[in-house]
Amino acid sequence: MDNENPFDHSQIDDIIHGRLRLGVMAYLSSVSPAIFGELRDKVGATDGNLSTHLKKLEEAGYVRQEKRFVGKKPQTRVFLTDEGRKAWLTWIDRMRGLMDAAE
Amino acid sequence: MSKTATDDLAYVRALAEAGANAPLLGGRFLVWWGGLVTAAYIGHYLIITGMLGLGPEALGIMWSVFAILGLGGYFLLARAFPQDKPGQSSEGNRVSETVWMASGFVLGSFFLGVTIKSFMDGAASIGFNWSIPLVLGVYGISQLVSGEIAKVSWLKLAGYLAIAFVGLTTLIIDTAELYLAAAVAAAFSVLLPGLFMLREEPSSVV
Repeated sequence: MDNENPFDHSQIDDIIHGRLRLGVMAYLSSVSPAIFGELRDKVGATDGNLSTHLKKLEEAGYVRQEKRFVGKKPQTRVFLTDEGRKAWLTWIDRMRGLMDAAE
Repeated sequence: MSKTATDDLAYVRALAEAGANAPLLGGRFLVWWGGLVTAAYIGHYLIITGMLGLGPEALGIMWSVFAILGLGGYFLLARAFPQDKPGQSSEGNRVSETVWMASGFVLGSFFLGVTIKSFMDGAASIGFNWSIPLVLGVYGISQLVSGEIAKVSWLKLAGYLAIAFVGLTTLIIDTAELYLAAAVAAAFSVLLPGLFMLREEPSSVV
């Protein structure tokens, strides 16, 4: 990463960089799996909005959703995948590089 | 750095911390075991001091009931544990669950050994008395680790308290008061923290 341009916007993962998706990745980095409702409450999104963003993250292979029943109630659990964790750490490195270069 | 980028980073940090600081969910197990162990130690003290007018054979009955009730209740609680509590997979909860599980195995292995030895010798092993510092040490380590990982200072305090009682109970290992001291230690290092944890447990989510 040393030889790369830290200000190059194309190096930043757009899939993660959306504000709500950032929140999802940050929370999942410390709690995985998280229950859908737990994630919704933490990131302050509506069900529909969160579903849309989770779909994008899922398509990128960063999260995995799993449905099950708890008693008679359906429950969706969201897992951070290994690929997602790797992408998240890369995003953090990228942002750190950007901040260091800006100082 | 633009304000948006700074805000984004603050938001990300807040969410990462929310996960890292998720409340511990093992309160019901601590209340169950802490309450039972405290009651059993008090019962043991009352029996060996003759306050209940019962012979030493009552100890065997009491501890057998304790083991059956304790394990039975524990498995029922584990089975009924709500699967819709937020933060169940947090680092704090995973580490706490693991350290308590290891503690349970250590104590289970120890008591199995001491019980078998007692049957072989035809008399209660001295190991039962020495189990108290061991039990309190295991409680101390478990609470300290759980408190450290979940950043709960009063839980760490409970851990230190249990560890302090390891030395104290060793000093009075051959007295009846050993069991009173153990009851106090179990109440303050396991039962009470369990009640605090239950109070702070988050509501279920869908």
